[in-house]
Amino acid sequence: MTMSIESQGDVAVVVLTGRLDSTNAADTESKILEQIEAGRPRIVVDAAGLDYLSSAGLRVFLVVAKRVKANGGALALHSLTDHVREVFEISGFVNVLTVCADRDEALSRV
Amino acid sequence: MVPTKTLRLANELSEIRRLAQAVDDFAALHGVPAKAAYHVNLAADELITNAIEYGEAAPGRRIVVTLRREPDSLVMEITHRGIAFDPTAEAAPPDLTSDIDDRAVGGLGVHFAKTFLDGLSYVRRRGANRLILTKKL
Repeated sequence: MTMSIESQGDVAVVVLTGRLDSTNAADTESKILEQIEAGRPRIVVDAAGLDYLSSAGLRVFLVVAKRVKANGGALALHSLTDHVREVFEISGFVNVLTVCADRDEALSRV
Repeated sequence: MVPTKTLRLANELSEIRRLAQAVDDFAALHGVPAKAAYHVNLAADELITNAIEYGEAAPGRRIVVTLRREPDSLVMEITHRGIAFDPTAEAAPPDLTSDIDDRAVGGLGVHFAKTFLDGLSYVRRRGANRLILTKKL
């Protein structure tokens, strides 16, 4: 999986491409948490290129969501692909995390 | 004769990706819809991850995975030696309703496996743990 981080104002936009699973969850999590530690607790995750997500990957988003909240920020994900959306719905995480249709909506929610 | 494929995975999480590719290839070859293969792969990922992280198998032990394209289903058997460990038995039921502050992630993997499969069974036999995953087509 590749991860790139762009800035839009003071929002960190994390673009994920590929698989997020037990092999790379810890590394992905620590890289996103670094943004918060650097003073950027408003985070948008662009999931358009994310084609696979397991529970290990979901856990990353949960940890980040809790941490941004504790730091006065917010997390929003957008452009989920069908398989990833299914995982969000089966787990009920679609009700706990902010899931948006596109980048603009996500930016407005953080 | 039922098409089958057997892989021997090393006891490492990265092998799950190799398995996923093999499942996708097998599915394409034998008329299994991509979505069914995806669900089986996700279930296998969750169960094998649990087995590797909690099953305490010796590092050199292989995990043997056999795929079978039955007339109306895709069946995957996962066998690994180690302590008696049933990845389908949850320590606690998955948390599907708590809000963000109280939410826990435990048990979700097995919940996914059970939801995306039509059958999931575990048996301990001759020092090995065997899981049978079934996806109806």
